[in-house]
Amino acid sequence: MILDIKDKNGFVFEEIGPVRCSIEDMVRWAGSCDDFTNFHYEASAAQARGFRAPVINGPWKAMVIRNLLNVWLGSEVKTLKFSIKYLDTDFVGEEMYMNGRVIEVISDSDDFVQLKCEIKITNGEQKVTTEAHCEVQVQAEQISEIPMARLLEVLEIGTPKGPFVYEIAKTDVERYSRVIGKKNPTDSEFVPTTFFGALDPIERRDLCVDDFLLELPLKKVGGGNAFNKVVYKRPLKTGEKISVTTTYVDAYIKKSGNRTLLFRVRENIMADELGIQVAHSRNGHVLAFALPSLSGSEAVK
Amino acid sequence: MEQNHQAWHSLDSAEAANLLASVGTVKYVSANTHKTSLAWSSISRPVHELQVQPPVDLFLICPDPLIFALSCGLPRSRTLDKQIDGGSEWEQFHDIPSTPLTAISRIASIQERRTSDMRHMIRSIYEIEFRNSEGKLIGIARGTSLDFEVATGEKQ
Amino acid sequence: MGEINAVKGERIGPLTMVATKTDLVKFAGSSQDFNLIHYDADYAISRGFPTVIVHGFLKAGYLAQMALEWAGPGAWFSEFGATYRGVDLVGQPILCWGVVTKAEKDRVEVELWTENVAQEKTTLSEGVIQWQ
Repeated sequence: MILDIKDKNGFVFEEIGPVRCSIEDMVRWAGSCDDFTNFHYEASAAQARGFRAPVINGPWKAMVIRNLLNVWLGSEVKTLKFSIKYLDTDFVGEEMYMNGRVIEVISDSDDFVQLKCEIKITNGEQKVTTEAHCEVQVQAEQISEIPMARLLEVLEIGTPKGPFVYEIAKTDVERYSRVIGKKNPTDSEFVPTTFFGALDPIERRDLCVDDFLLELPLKKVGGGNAFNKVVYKRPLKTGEKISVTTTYVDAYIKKSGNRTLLFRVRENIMADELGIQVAHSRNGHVLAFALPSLSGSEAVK
Repeated sequence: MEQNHQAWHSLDSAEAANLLASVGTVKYVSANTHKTSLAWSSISRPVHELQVQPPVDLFLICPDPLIFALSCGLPRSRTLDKQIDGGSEWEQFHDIPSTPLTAISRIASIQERRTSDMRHMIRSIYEIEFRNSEGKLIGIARGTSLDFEVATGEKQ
Repeated sequence: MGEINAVKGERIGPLTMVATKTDLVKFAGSSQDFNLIHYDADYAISRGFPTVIVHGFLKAGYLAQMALEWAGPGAWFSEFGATYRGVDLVGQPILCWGVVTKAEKDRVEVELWTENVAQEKTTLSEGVIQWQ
């Protein structure tokens, strides 16, 4: 959920819970921070110390709360200051509820809003066991969707771009061959199979149409080439000049778990100096976003 | 939460004043992918609303400031009956760089207090400064240890 | 025209490659792919990766080259494709495998793939090898 800036003062976040932490969660936590104090995951050790069940590690609760700020305020929230007090014990297997609210607007500019928030954990008996205060910075304007209309406009699906002319340099081919593990990089005039990628105006950034995607105020969680396919009429050779024409043929969104994947697909036609087609490739690039509030999946063509 | 690590040093009250501002072993730290994945799995399994692992911040570098400071060799007061983690604080001033941070731990404060029911308590605050390779202060983490008397009936 | 006595099901590889940062920079230079995610760790982290990642085309290059070394002199791919299922990180071993899926006198079809240390397939590839 994204905080509506207009309503930020006194805003009450949606309650999270009941949350129950398991022994396995505590063991994972112990491994993550090298705190192997056994009454956090061993019932007998906890009982020997007078606890009815293993005790939830305090910093574990801190990390939960800190990450809930991303759920409540959006993925781009920045935590500037965070303090937590453990007022009472929480136990493995028992209910916890997390509640939070904005208690102060520290500053409000065109770009950022700085807020002070209070978060509390209560147990099943409605007793506050943990209290945290934090100062966070939230982007003033957040978007929750990929602007597909703008993307389709810049991609100009179906419209060829180019040609871009590239000479296949011997030094590039030799260096490329060495890196991919070719045993005798200079023993053949054929260029490596995957060298068609080096003749792609998008990979070379001679054609930059959708750079705005990386500037969007959305959390990026990966991406890169999704697939590359090529059909050669003949092997390409060192020293040739190749003309490349690029055409975007598709753009679509897919959901994968909690990631939103944006694919852009382009086709390259490669021709030699006589104008004869020597290869044709189809290339898909993907950007992965963690969108705060995109429901369901959609495909846009 | 209570801590009970045999390797950690004990502290008696006579030592306390001398130890104020003690500095622990300097550590060079960066986010450990395996450990941050473990930490993330430990919270995202039970809290279903947590779906996207956040970028590296001071929480991930130092999820437990008290444990971190003790692991740097700083002593912990064990003069009274029971020791617990009293809370933590993190302040982050700049994004975490990809290069390791220098972590310097110290005992920032040792104070004798009374609990609300008048039991003796020693509150120690451990402070860890994280600096980048150019010496710029990236963030500070603080951990609190409480060492207190238990009520007479609770003593074993 | 060359040929190979390959049979369906014949294994190609394995070949273990480890892409160092220097490799990634060399590959960036020779392929003109200067995307920062392949050599600037801070940028890669801002894009949601744990550190810099290996170019998909480099992994595809490992696979294609491994198959061509296996196929011998004069071999070339008339068709080749790769799908990237997972990222591989700088400095981590990449295991390259292949298998012959169809063998004719002067034409062999192969499936190739990379695996990471967790034995997850991170690149799936297929192609047609011919000889000149």
